[in-house]
Amino acid sequence: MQVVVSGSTIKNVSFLQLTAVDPRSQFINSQAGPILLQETLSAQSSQIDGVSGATYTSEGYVQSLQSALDQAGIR
Amino acid sequence: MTAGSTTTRRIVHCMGTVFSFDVRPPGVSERVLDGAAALLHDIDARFSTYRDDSEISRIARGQLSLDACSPDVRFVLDECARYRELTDGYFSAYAAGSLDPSGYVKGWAIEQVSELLRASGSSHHSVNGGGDVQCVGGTAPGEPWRIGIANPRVTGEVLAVVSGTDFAVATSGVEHRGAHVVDPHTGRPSRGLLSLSVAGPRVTVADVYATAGFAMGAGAAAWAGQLAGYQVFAVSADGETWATPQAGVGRA
Repeated sequence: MQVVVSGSTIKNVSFLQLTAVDPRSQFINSQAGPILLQETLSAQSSQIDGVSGATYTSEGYVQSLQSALDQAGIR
Repeated sequence: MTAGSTTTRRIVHCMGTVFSFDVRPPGVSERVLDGAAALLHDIDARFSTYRDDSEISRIARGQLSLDACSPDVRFVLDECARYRELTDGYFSAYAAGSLDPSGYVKGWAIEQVSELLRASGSSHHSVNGGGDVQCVGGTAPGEPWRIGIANPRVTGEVLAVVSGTDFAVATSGVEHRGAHVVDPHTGRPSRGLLSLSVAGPRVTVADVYATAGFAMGAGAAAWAGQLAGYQVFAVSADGETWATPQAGVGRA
C-alpha cells in the first residue's frame, strides 16, 4: 500500500495490520488491508471519504462534515 | 448511463439519525438502494424503543416473550448479553434502566445494509449510520477508504484519518447530543472522555466497544490495549488524544 502524506501536518505514520478476528465476523479478514491512522492538525489537509463521530440527530446531520461530503458526492 | 458505472449516494433518515450509502463502481440499481432503505425502516419498526408496537417495546412491557419474538430480535438480545459480559457490563442493553438494544442495533443495521449491497453485486461501498462506518473494498480497486475521526470540540474538523480497505470505524462521544452515554454501573452520564473511536473489521463490534469504552471514561485506556483486532483512538476531556499502540497514531 502506498502512502502519500501531504504537507507537514502529519506528525507520524505507521501501519496497523488487522489479524485477530471476531469469531462471528461476517467479513473475510484475510482480505482486510492495513489500516493507517494519521494524526492531522487540520481537516483541510486530509482528503476524506467519510466521517466517524458521535451520533448526530437528523438536525445535527445538516451541519455535519458527513453531510457536506454527501452533498458533494450527490452533485 | 448504466447503474454499474457510476458512484451512487443515498441518504436515509431513520432511527433518529441519518444513514449515508456511498456505492462505488460496480454500482447497484436505484431499486437495490430502495431495498436497503426499506431494510433500515423495517429494522427500526421492529427494534425502536420509540414505537409502542415494536417487538422491543412489547418485550419491555412483558407483552411478548423471548420465545415468541422474531429470530432477529432474539439474536440481537443474545448478542447484547454476550457483549455485556465481554465488556464487564460497560455495554448494556439496560444501561438506561429499561430494555434498549439500540447501541447494538444501529451497527447491526449498517452491516445488514452492507451485506445487502454486497449480495447485489457491490464490492466497493461504505455505509455510514450516524457517524459509524462500515467500509467494504476500497473507493476503487486498490484505493483505500479514508474515514476522518471528527474533532469533538470543533464541528467540521477531523483529528485523525483511518485509511484502508474492508474495515469499520465507530465513535461514541458527546459531540451532538450532550452526555448521552450512560455508565451502566452508576446510571449517570459518563465523564472523562469527549469521544472514543474504535477501528476494526466489523462496525457492530466497533460500535459496541466504542460505547463501552466511552462509558469507562479515563479507565478505557487499559481496557483498550487488550482488544483483539480492534484499535482505539480517544479524546480526553482536556482535549488530549491517546490511542492503542498498534493504531500507529504518532505524537511528534
